[in-house]
Amino acid sequence: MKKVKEIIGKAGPLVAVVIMAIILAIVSDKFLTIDNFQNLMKQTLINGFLSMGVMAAILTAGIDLSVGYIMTLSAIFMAFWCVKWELNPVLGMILGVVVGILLGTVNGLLLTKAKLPHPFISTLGTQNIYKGVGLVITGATPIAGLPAVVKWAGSASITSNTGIITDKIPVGFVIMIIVYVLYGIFLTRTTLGRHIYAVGGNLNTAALSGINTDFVRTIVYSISGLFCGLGAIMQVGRTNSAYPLAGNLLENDAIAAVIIGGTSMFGGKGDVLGTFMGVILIALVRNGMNLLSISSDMQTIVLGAIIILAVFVDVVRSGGFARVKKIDKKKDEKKEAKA
Amino acid sequence: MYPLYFKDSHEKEEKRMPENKSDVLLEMKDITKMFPGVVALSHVDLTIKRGEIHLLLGENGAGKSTMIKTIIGINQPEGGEIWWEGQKVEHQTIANAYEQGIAVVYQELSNIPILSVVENMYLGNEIKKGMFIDWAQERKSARAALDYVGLTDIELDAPMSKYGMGQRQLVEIARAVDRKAKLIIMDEPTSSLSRREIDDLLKLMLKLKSEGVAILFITHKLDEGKAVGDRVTVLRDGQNVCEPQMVADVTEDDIIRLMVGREMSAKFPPRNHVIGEEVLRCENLSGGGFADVSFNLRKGEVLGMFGLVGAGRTETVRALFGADPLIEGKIFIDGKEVTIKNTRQAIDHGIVLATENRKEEGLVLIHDVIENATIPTMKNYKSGLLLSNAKRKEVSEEMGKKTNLRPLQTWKRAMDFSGGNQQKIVVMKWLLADAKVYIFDEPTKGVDVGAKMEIYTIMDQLLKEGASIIMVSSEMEEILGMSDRVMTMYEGVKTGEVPNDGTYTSEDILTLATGGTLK
Repeated sequence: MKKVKEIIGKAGPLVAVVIMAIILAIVSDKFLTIDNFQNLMKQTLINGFLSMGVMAAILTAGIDLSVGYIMTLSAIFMAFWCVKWELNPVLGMILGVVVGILLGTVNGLLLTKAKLPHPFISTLGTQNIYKGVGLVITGATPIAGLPAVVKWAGSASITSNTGIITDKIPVGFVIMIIVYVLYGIFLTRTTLGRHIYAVGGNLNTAALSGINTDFVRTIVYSISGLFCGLGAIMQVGRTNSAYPLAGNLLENDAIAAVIIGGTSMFGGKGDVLGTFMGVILIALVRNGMNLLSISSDMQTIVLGAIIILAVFVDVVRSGGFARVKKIDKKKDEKKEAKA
Repeated sequence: MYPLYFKDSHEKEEKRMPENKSDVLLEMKDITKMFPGVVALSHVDLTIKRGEIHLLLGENGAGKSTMIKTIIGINQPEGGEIWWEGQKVEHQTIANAYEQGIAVVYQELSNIPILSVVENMYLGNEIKKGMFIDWAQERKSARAALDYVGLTDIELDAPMSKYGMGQRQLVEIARAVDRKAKLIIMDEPTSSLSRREIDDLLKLMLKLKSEGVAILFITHKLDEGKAVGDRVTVLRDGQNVCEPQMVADVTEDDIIRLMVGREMSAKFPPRNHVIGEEVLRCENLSGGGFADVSFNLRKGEVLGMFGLVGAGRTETVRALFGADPLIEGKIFIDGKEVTIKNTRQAIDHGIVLATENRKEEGLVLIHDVIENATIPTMKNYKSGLLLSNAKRKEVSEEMGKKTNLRPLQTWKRAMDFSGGNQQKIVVMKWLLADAKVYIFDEPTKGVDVGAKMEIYTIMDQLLKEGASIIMVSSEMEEILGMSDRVMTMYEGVKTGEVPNDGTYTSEDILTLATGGTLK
């Protein structure tokens, strides 16, 4: 019984995705088309990667507000390397990801070495700094013309000649799913992965259990930076350019996806499947409302409501409204009389 | 009832006057309170008369705290009635209890250290003039109440953190006095106080009593209870043991018998371990809160560390475990000097700590048993590159069996276990780390009677298997029941060390632990 309950609990976001899809299929005849599905998959790419990054931070009861602009700087670096300096594009991609990791690590160090009280502060600061740096070094202009190999992951689709949907599956989406699986394995089946949960579940206990909590709390921001770097590859592929405001407000959707996916803001609880579902759900909402020609302003309102609703459902499910049951005194007495 | 200067205080005087002249103030009738899986209180009665000091005694887990929470409306009982001044209270709430004039002075202080004394006095109950806080009136009333409890030289504007536990406790009592509480519930108020502070507090209690205030006094220290109490209610396993007794008519031994329900001798496993070579030696350890502490520990031995709260015992063992920095001192394991800079190093050297605050520092409550038990040793359960969940489950279940974890459901979250079983999960964790030196800081804090013996048995088991134990405890009974040697600390320094073979009495140990010397 308990297991069943647990499975239903975990499937919550999945159920929401299915319901959403059914609704969209009914109200819009454009929803169930191959082109639209391709679109939908592409729309999940950037948020899909950034959400994994934010999730690492949130699992340790932290937050990463700088993901959007780490991605941006990472992409700008790739553009400089490949377009302005005309150096090896593959190496440029790799170094771009490294830039992401470094920028993320700065967030971690601000938390653990500079002892800033909460990553909300450090990442709010770096978000602005990274944004500013991007604007300054690019002169606030986009850099286009990246080499095909860099754009491949974010733009190509698997091509075969079967003429069915597999023709149109974006390469990036496949990569993203593979990364999600690997990330899931990392979180559940490696020592560091479990330590991340322990640190998030109870920092003191983790420290008194021999875990180097500073290391863990730093590395999660490096991990977040890594995913931002990967997100940058998707972004340059999707838009064919690196531009300094590409990351604007992306942290919002990423945080939303993680929260909708059931990861606890207090740390120590959450899984990749949930986050993935959160990403899909957000993409579905945006996609569906685009199909129905609902303005983006209106979309924002709906998305906000969904975040609150998702967490509210979670609160209800976990017994936040549980009431103390009064015992029927007569029944009690009868029982006693029998005994 | 109260001194004259309370007359002009802000509270509505007439409302506080008793309408019913009966001498019964509070009557809890047939109270039953259940929590998921446990009956915390079962048909418990408690009657408190005006102006009496009523002792509520019982072992940890006997239901005292639940009773208090029920009186003040934090808990809603499933059965029973609450009567206040002869009137039935249909639905007790915190606000109601406040209005009725019930105040609680908690064991763990509830005031806010960074706020000033006067702010703490009126937190949540600010005196207002229109929309604004009437500071002048607050200061005036606060001063009067603080003087009344003997805090004549406390500064109203100083932050609460400037003052020690004893004074902070008195501020809480002043708060109750200022509110003209008719019933003050004191939940182990003396557990963190020095001898002098305790005496002052007891005198204050008698003074309050003489002015008609009733006090419900929860304590573990029977001598204090005997000194001031009028009547005593004893709870055991959530039930009344007997009718309330007159304190004058019973001896301390009687009370203990009522509390534990059996003879004391059966409370601890027999001490018959073989003591071997020295495994740990600490020389001149100094750090935050302790200085120049030296001791050693032999194989199969229990070293009891006794002292009052704040004596520096916890600080010492935390530094030994690498949880806090050690400023000076040498640590030798099996004769070899080692450096311990962090908990990892301590664990690798075989020194582990089961902390006093299980929930805050010992467990990740939201995680299951497997996760908790395998945190420090995660890397041992790999198969290939990845962790093997099957292996982790297997070792957890094995250790669960060994420690008699109940229920033996390793997928259950730590928060869903009782205090005693939570302590077992902590022990499981360290058993897996293959430790040699177990430090237990207050091992049975918040653990019920039955589980206590189980924890002692586990400790005994550890000793039989060749481990050694440092046991920090504030319970004299536990110290005498478990230790081979007793070391005392007072105000951060070691004040003595005696064998626990009957040559030294509990009075001797207490003398040492309060800074005195033995003749």
